[in-house]
Amino acid sequence: MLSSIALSAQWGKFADPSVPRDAKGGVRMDAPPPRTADGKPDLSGNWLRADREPLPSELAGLFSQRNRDAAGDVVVEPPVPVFPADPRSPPIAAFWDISTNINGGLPMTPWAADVKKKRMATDMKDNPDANCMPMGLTQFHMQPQPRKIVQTPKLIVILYESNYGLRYIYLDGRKLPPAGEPQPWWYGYSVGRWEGDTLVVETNNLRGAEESQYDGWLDVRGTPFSGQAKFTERFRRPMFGKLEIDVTLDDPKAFTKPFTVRINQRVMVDEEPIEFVCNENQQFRRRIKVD
Amino acid sequence: MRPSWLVACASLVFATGIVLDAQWIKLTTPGLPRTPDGKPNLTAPAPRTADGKPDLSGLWKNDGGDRLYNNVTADMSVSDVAPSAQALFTKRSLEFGKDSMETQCLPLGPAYLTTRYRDMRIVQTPALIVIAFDDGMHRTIWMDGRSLEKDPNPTWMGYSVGRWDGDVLVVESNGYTDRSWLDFGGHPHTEDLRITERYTRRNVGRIEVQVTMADPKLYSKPIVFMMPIKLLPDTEMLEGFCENHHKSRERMTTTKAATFVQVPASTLSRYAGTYDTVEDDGTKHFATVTLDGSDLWLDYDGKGKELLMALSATRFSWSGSIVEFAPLNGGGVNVEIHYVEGTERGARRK
Repeated sequence: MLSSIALSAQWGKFADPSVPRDAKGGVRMDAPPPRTADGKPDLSGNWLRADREPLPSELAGLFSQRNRDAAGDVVVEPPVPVFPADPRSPPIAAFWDISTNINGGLPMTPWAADVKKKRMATDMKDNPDANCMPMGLTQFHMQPQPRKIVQTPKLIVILYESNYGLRYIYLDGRKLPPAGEPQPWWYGYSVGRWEGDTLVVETNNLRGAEESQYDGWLDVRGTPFSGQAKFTERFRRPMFGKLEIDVTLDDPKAFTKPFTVRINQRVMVDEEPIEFVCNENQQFRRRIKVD
Repeated sequence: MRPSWLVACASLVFATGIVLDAQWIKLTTPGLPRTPDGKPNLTAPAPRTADGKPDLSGLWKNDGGDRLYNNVTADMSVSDVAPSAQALFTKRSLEFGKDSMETQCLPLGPAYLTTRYRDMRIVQTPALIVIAFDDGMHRTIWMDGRSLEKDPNPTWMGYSVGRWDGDVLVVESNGYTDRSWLDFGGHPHTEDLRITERYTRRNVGRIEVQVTMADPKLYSKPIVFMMPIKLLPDTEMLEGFCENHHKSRERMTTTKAATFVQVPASTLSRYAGTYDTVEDDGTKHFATVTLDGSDLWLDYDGKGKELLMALSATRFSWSGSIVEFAPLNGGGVNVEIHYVEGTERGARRK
């Protein structure tokens, strides 16, 4: 996002006939969520993050006025909240620093605190996003570029516009592989199941921060997770226009106790993610003079 | 035996570009028909979706062999290829593909159809089909009735729409950037490239895809070939990720490509003919050598002709392996093919 320029390519205007609309043609965000033939909520669609992002201190003064709203925030989301606040919501995860909205911060172990400190001390030059690498699950969920969910009964695919991310969630009954058994992978190994209208996805065997400097990033500041991380994501589509993802991270090497954050996404209709080939014009490392 | 330079080259790229693989635990693919002994029944009838269409979903691998990987025009004459395209192909072949998409961690675009070692996953829904490759790239094929745009913004993966013609999935694609190649050998294309694919699922284990690449500015007739793909049962995709900031390409540019020479057609024509060859272990092969345009071509075991690049009047590079001709008194020609693994020897048929 900071380093690569996306060239847009897109289909012409294509009005999706399955989208609920009001008399003026506006999208009815609060319409009931669609369902699949087998009665499950259908999470399929294009999604943009919905939560506001406060301006991190590192960026103070770096952005011109036109990139800010009246409150000084970086404008990558709509100026007013898309959805009313949910009083039952866990703390909202922030893209820049996942702990921003958590009272008292995160229960980081000394190891994790040290990793994060070192990453911030080098201006996050190894941020996987900026290096055309796959990101951590939460960084992918919060990235401002859209993602497309394709849901089938036994397999859900998430296609991320940013860095050509591609994630599979298996619902075909296979079990999560034992921790530490298969080779760790950027997206880990994910299996999902339905609990009522909630899709519960468990993921393990991720490439943690021990693997390389590009691995195990929860956010832009580099809050780490380790190879021991187990993510549990609970996806809900309470209305047509909203996707709620509650992410619980259980990672005893990086955090003294599990914690849960929420990421809200809003539907994007009548347009598609564009092709974004990060490696086409990689200037980041050259410009910050690390190579 | 086939040239091993691809493996060597791939190893070079992998060693320097660092591609890491991951694998799910060995699993029994759910939902596959099986024989009484529990093995996947790959010849069982093709599965169908709820709406009665053939279901192409699953994990697949290009089973087209080596034929078109280096030369998508293997079944065509050089005269069907515009001189500018032929010159670019020869240049890129001489450079062993150092500027190819693969060495730059860029999407292969149309070359996914000619690259045999890529695994692919097809995810089929009524309105959208996704084909995802093991390098993380994907295609979206729209089945919702939209039409291709006349002048889309060019992309690496192009724009695709599909429709059912009976039990055949017909996919039409356009909007490809002219930076991609049609094959690893380096055949170029323009932004006018249009690709038509016809997918027929013969049974559980096999899909046959007829591919037509039309680009009349560079190719006087459409390039047509079959791409068979086979099911990968009881396993998971070995995914790779290409890290671009590891200098692999800079290192490759140190390889000198200037060791090739021009040999007159009158000399090259003396090597034309079919050769019977034998590997060190006794395995027999045949190779047909032809002169087309100003270049010598080798068709090994009938798999399609590939460019021979002259190192001298008698020594040629065949994708990195060495083919050496020895004219004999009395008109015969002997041949030796030197691989990394050994030497294959033979003589021209009388």
